[in-house]
Amino acid sequence: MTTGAASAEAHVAILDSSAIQEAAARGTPDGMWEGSGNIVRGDGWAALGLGDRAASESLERLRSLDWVERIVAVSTPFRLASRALFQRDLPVRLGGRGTSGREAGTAVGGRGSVTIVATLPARSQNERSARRAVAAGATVLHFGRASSPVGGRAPSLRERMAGLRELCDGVGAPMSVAVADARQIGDVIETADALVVEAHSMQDFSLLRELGRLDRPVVIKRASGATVEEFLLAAEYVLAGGNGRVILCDPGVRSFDAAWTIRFEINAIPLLKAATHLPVLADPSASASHPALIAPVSRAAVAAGADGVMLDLAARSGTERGGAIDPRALEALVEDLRRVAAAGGRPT
Amino acid sequence: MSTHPSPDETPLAASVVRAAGVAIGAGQPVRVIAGPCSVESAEQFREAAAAAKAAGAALLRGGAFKPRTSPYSFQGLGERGLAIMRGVADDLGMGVVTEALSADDVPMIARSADMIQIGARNMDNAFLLDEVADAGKPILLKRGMAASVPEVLAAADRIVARGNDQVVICERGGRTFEPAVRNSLDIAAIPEVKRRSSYPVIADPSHGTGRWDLVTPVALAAVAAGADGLIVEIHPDPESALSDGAQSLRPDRFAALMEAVRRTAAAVGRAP
Repeated sequence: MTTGAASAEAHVAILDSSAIQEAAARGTPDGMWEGSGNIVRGDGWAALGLGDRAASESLERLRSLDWVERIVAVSTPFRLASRALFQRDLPVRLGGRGTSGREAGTAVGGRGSVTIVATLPARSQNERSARRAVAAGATVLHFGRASSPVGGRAPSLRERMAGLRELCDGVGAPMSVAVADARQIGDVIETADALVVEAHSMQDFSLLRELGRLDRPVVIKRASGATVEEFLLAAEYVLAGGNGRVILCDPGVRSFDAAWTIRFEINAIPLLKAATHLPVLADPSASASHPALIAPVSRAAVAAGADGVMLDLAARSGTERGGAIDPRALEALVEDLRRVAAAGGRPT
Repeated sequence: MSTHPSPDETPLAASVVRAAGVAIGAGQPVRVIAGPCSVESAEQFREAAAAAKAAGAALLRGGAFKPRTSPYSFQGLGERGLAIMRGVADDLGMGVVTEALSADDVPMIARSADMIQIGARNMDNAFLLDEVADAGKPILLKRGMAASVPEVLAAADRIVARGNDQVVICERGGRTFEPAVRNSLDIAAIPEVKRRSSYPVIADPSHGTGRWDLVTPVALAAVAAGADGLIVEIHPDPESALSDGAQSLRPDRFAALMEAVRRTAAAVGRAP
């Protein structure tokens, strides 16, 4: 990224992620260096933000420690999210914590196979539709705000989450759930494999700070009025809190075109992939004014480098409208996406 | 905003357009048009054109009359630029696409070019559309930066209604609030034009991004979304270009783009 407010050069220490666990066991507290933040832990990596005023002697001393791999200078406003830390894409692992043992988990990003997150419609959150979505190729099942357990009606959020967990374990898929408020985290953290910040909450900074304290993947959707840099800074809030397992999901931005109030911004995919090591998903459902647009835009996003897509599923075939895809069309789309990814040199 | 008629009410438009023997559209391979933004000299155009041909481009592009935002910017070589393009294109046995800015210039451009481009800034220039339609050459119609899909289809229909059915629509992006890019390519416009009409659609990832480093991923996206072709700016030495250097590909990068386009086209079941 070359735009936005000029930022003083900051430093980030890349840590040996196994050695850091031993150091932590010996009682190395987070924030032990003046100006440094929390140790951020991802899947297979750890880093420590050193701020933008680290003295060169302190950097030298850190460099000599055996659990410090290297120290990176970062000049973008987002630091822990920066591509300067890792040239390779880092994966985020989802799931693998179901009680049935049938749900093995999945890796998002890291130049692995294409991720397909399917949002089940509220009226068909049953085992049959979940099984169908997984059979068609969905690798994660999502329960969005509309269908979300949030709302205060009986059964309670906690009880509904238990039901959804059972549903996902039954079909062997990890589950993600939307959280609209920091106070809902407690009710979903036991059961959800990932917590999703919807676009309208992207700059709910108290929510982002709370999610940064968790040891659970967080998916952040771009707000329709946010620039790419603002999107990355929202991710930085979660990372700065210590949670390195952040996934970006781009639904597009507001446009003045009356036909589509949200426009899927294809340029953002390569911009994000160049700017960050975090996984990047596309959400073509949010902008699709007609179901016929979902598959081409999904293929485009993967061709441009997206690690996967997040799609709304129609309740049943023949009921699709707007951004929801016919469950029968999902299977063909997943095949297409795997071929497009393979053409770009990624594993199927 | 006018409502565009449904596909079966749109008569006459050809689903395959032929320029200099190159067929663009339904059932055809992905066609790539490449060349410099501006013709700067015979040497520069010859070098760019040879690179385009070597990498597999189907048609050449070049600007002789340039619509520049500032009156102080390089305005193009005009008639001399047309002659350079024609000469090089004939030497290489290729067709050439160039833009007409003024209705007065259309007859002269029609004598030199195999396909006439209407630029994004002129999509609504009805008299220019009429003049170009009458010239009897295939037309590359770029979507205006602030035009909706129904509006670009209405402009295309104006040309077809005039009796020229050889119209290719080009998506080239528009302005958004994103400061990191010059324009933002509207990828959904490609399937939307196809859903609403039978016009061939190509994409311009050079103007659609404004940054050479984004050109290849966005070109692949357009092919994956079903584009019938691409128009790409290349320059033998982008840093010395008189216009659009920041979004122009070096010949070696263009060759790599062509290779990637072939792979993506095959992945979506299309001849490269």
